Amino acid sequence: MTAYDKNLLANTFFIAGAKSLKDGGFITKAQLTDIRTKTPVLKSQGNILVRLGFLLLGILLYSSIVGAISLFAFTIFNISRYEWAIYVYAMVGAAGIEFFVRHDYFGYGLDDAFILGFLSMICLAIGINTESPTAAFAAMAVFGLVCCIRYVHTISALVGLIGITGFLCCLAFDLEVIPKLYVPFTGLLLAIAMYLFYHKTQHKPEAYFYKQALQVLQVFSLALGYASVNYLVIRELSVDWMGMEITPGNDIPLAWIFYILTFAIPIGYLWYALQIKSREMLLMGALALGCSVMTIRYYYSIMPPETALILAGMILFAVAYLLIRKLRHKESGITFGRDRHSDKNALLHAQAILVNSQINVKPAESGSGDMPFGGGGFSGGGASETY
Amino acid sequence: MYIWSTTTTNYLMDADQEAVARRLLDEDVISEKEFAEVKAYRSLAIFSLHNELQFLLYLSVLLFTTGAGILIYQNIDTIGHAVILALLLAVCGVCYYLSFKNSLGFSPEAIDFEHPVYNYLVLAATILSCIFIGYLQFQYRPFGAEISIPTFLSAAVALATAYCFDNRSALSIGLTGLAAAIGITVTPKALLENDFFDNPALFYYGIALGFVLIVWAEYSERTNLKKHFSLIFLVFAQHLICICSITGIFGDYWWLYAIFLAAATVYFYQKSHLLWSTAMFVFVLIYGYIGLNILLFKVFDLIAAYQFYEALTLLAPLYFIGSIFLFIRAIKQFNKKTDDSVR
Repeated sequence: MTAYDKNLLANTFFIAGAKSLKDGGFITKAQLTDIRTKTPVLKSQGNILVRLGFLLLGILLYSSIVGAISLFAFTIFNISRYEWAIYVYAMVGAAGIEFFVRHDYFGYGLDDAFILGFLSMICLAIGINTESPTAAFAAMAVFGLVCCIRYVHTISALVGLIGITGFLCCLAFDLEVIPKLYVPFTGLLLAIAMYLFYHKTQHKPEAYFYKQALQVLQVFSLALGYASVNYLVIRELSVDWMGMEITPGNDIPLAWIFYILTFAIPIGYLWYALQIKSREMLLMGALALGCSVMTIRYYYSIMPPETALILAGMILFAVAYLLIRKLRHKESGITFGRDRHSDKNALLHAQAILVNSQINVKPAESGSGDMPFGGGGFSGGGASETY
Repeated sequence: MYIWSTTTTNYLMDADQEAVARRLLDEDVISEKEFAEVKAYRSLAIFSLHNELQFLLYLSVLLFTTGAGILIYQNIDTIGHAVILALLLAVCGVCYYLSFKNSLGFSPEAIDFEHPVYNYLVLAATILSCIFIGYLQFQYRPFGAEISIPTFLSAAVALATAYCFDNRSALSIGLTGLAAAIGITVTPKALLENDFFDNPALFYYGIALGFVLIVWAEYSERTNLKKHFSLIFLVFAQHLICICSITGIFGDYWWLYAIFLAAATVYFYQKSHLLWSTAMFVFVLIYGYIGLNILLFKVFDLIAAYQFYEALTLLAPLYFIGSIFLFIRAIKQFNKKTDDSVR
C-alpha cells in the first residue's frame, strides 16, 4: 500500500515515540541517542519550521523545473494549447515525489512540496480540460486519498476530504442530483459517516501509520457536521443559492431545528470529548460554541459589542477559574496538572507573540488614531458591522 | 530553551507509547523498572487541561480589556472623563494589589505564582494601565503634543511589570511599546500587511533599537538577570534588524543595509547555536537567503543579465538544488552542535 519500506517507516514512528518519552522524562538523552544509532530510519523533519522552510524551497524548485520545461517545450514543439501542458507539470510533480520516496524522504518538506504541487496541478488540469468543477472535485477526492495512502501524507487526506465534500456540493448545486433542500442533512450524514469510519479504523493495526490522517478525518468530520447545520450557514446558503427571501417575521424552513442544533452540537462535542478524552474534539467543541454565539449575535444583537466583550471576558474568567480550582489537585484522569509530555515554555511564548496581534499599540508618529492605546484591534466577539 | 519544541510531530497516542516502551525494553535500552514507570503513568489516564484552561484565562483577559478599550473609545464624550479614568485606575489598582499580595517577590530567576490565575491578572493590569495612560494623554495632554512620551511611559510600565512578576506577555507588550515610541509598529499583523514603514529614517531607528535589545540580552545573560527573558529580546531584535535591513536593501543605500544584514546573520547564526534555538536558526537562514537573493538580482541588473534570460531559467533548478544541499548541510551541522534539537 505504501511507497515506503515498511520497516523503515515503523522505525521512524518508533523513534518519534522514543523522543516523546524522552520529552516526558521517562528515558534519558543517552538512551535516546543509543536507540537512534541502532535504528535505521527515513529522512524526516520533525520540526515544523524547518519543514516549512524546505516546503518553500521545494515549491521554488518545482516551479523552476516547470519553468525550464515550458521554455523548452513551448518553443521546440510549438505547443499552442497550454491546457494540455498542465498534465505535463503534474507528471513532473509525480516524478519528483517518486524520486524523493526512493531516496527515503518522508515528511521532510521537499516531498510535501511535490505532493501538493502534483495534487494542485492534476486537479487544475482535469478542471480546465473538462471545464467541470464536479470533475475537479472528484479528482481532488481520488488523488488526495491515493497520495494519502501511498505516501502516508496527512495533508493529502485533507485535500481528499475537501474533494469529497465539494463533489457532494456539486451534485446538489451544479448537477442538481440531490435536492438543494436536503443539502444540510446530506452534509450531516456525510459527517456522521466520516466519523464512524474514523471510529471503526482508529485502533486497527493497519491504520498504525495513518494515525495523523485519521485525526484530520476526525476534525474534518466534526467541522463538517457542525457547519452543515449551523443556522448562519443554512440561512446564507438559502438566500444565496436557493433565492429565498427572508422578510422580518419570517424565517427559513425548519429554523427551530437549526437553532437547536447550532447549540446542541457544540455542547455535545464538549461533553463527549471529555468522555472519550479527545483533545481534538474538545477544541472543535469550544470553537464551534464560539461560532454559535457569533451566529446568534449576527442576527440578534442583544447588547452592544463592548458590553458583550466585557461580559464574555468576565464569564470566561469565572468559568476558567472555577474549573482550575476544581481540577487543580487531581492526580489522574481529567486534571489541571501538567502532562509530563507538554512544554511549559511553548504556551508562554505563544501567548507573548499573540498578545501583540491583539493589543493595538500604534506608533507615536503615525497620528492616524487619536487613541494610541485603543484595544480595537481585536476582531473576534462579533462586532455586528464588520463580521 | 527553544520555542518550537512542542511542534515536534507527535505521531503517537497514549496506547502506542506503551508499545514504544516495550520495544525499548526488548532492545535492552531501558530496564524493567523504567518500563513499569511508563506503564504506571499511562494507567493514570491523565487528560491534562492545563494549557486549555490557561488559554481560556488569557482569552478572557483579552476580551475584557478589548471591551473596556472600545467602551472608553465610544463613550469619550458621554461619560465624564474623570469617572472613566477613576474606574480604570480602580480596576488596575485591584489587579496590581492582588498580584503584589500573592507575589513571591522579585527574583532574578524564573518565578511563578502559586496559582496560575494571577499571571493573567498581571496581564490585565498591564493592558489596562496602557489604556489608562493613553486615555490620560488623549484627554488631558499632560505631556503636551509629544505623543511618544506617554507611549514610552506605557512601555516602561509594561517592562517593569514584566520584570517584577516574571510575565512574558507583559514583556512583549513593553517591547512593542518601545518600538511604537520610536514610530514602528511591530505587530505580526502590520508585518503581514507590509505597512511597516513609510519613512526611511525609521530603518535606522529600528536597527538601533534591535542593537540595544541585543546589548541588553547579552547583559542579562552575563549578570543572570532574568536570563530566560533574553530569548524574547533576541527574537524581537532579530526580526526588527533583519526586516529593516531587507526593506532597506531595496533603497539607495543598499550596500549599508547589506552590511547590517550580514552582521546580523553572523551574530544570530552563532547565537542560535549557543542557545539551541531552532526558531532563531531557521529565521537566520530565511532572512540570509532572502537578502542574498536580492543582492543576486541587483548584480544581474548591474550586468544586464536579463539578455540571457533563457540561460538563467535553465540554470534556476540547479541553483535551487544547490541551495537545498547547502541548507541540509547547515541543519546537519546545527544538529551536531545542539544535540539533535531539530530532529
